[in-house]
Amino acid sequence: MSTKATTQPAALPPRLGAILLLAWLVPGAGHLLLRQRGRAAVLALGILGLFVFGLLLRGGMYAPLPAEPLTFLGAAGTLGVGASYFIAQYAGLAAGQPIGRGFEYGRTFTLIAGLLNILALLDVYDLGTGRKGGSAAE
Amino acid sequence: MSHFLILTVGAALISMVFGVLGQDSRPAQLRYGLKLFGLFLGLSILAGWLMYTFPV
Repeated sequence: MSTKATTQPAALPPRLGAILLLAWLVPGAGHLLLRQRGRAAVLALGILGLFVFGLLLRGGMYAPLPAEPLTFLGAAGTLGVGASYFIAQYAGLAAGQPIGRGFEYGRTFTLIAGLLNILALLDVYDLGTGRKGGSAAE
Repeated sequence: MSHFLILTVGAALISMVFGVLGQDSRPAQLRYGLKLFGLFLGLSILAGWLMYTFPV
């Protein structure tokens, strides 16, 4: 006789949605709210530093172009960096300087910053649900 | 800014983030971050040397 195990998906802790939103908007904020101050500082420095470095190299950010479908992936990845994406766009830094020396590097760095923040979001989720060391968000 | 300096700064920032996300304890994070940083630089220089042998 076999018993069928029923697995119910665990409900998310109530605050976790808001923490994830903040973590997306400001790199490191999610870890800070989960009292992981050291991790939060390193993530903020690493991700925002990479994003700003990319902009300083005049790489700009990927913009979705209908004629080039792969740019949608690039734009989606860069959007992972959160509020900084919109601030850079508002400041007129999105286009970069295609003839500049650092253009390819810079654009790659702004994309990587967004992707790293998405990884950090997954870490916040794991910490918040108790899958990874630390306590679940209340 | 030289290509090597850009590579070094980028590798340092990326390694920092992977270091704290990939390990739990502080010493392990530091070791992992330094290891990744070294691999980033070493493999990039190796790839550069390999590409040097190809005709332009």
